[in-house]
Amino acid sequence: MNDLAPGERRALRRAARRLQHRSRSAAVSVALAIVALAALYVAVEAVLAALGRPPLAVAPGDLWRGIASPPAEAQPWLIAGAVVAAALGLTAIVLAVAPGSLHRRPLADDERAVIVVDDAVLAGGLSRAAGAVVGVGRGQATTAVTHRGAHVTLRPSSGFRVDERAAEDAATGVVARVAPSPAPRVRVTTTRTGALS
Amino acid sequence: MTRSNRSLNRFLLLVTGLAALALAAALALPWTPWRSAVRYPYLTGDATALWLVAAAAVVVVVLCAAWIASRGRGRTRAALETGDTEIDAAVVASLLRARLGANPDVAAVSASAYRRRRARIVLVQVQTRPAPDLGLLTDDVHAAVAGLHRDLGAAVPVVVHLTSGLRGALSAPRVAH
Repeated sequence: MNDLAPGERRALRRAARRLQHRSRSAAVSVALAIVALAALYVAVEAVLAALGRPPLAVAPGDLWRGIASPPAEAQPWLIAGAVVAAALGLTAIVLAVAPGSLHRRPLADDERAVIVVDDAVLAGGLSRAAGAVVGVGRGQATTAVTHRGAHVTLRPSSGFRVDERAAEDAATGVVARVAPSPAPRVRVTTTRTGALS
Repeated sequence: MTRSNRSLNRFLLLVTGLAALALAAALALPWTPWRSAVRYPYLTGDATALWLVAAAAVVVVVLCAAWIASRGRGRTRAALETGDTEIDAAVVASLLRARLGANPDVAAVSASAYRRRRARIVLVQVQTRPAPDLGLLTDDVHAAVAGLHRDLGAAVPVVVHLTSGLRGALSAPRVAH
């Protein structure tokens, strides 16, 4: 009763991974909608031409002749069409290969539950730990978290000194305790201008 | 979290992107110095060819519509099914909310259930207050899940997402005070 089946544990790990990246579902829907609209237009024009009716915009035969052997002077529609198609195509390719990271990471595995934490929450937790140990107020510690690092900036009240080492130890202690993966390396700096408080 | 196949999504994006680039090249090629490199096939305008084109285009439209309509599946209301009882994801949420109520850094708790490849998991979103005590929070979350399993009498797989604010990560900065 207390343990998860191995299949469920695998499902949890998969779910945690899926939480960390974009699914690209929306992008595919947009891309397919555009393709569908274009195909719909082609279908309408083809049917009209097959029935011998006048075309909506341009008949398929004329369109193909226009593309394959264009008239001497530049056709703005063709150029515009090529530019639009190229832009959309490049966007789609970039979205296909870009990682789409959502800036979240999993914490150490527990037997039953997997915790995934936003980098913003992790940053807040490190700010709190660092700030508390050196005695600065809530608004005076800022942390920026990147994939492998965390940079804590302390802004002490004017005239006070802070022990950067203690702050770094405190923040590193939090990292060790919750064990995110990847575990960011903590770096602490102090601003030169203090806060008036 | 839904049933969407993410690799397939990226593959489709790649294919449509390449097709669009090919279309752009086809449109622009007659204007470039490489005009003689490619010969455009002669297309007759007779009725059979046109009907074929129309049929193919309709098939494309149907396939695209089917794909778009299949988005978002996989979400289910029941988080747990044992024998003839079903437990709603909302119940899981309120059980966890009660257990996490003592933690000052928890602002909101919500839960939803997903079914994927015959495994049911519960996704729990815990909205945290700014600058939480992470050690205490993670301990409390683990304890709450253990208590949940005792309450339900079954080990429901739970993924807990600790988030700071808006659900989307779009506007969430990685900097926190």
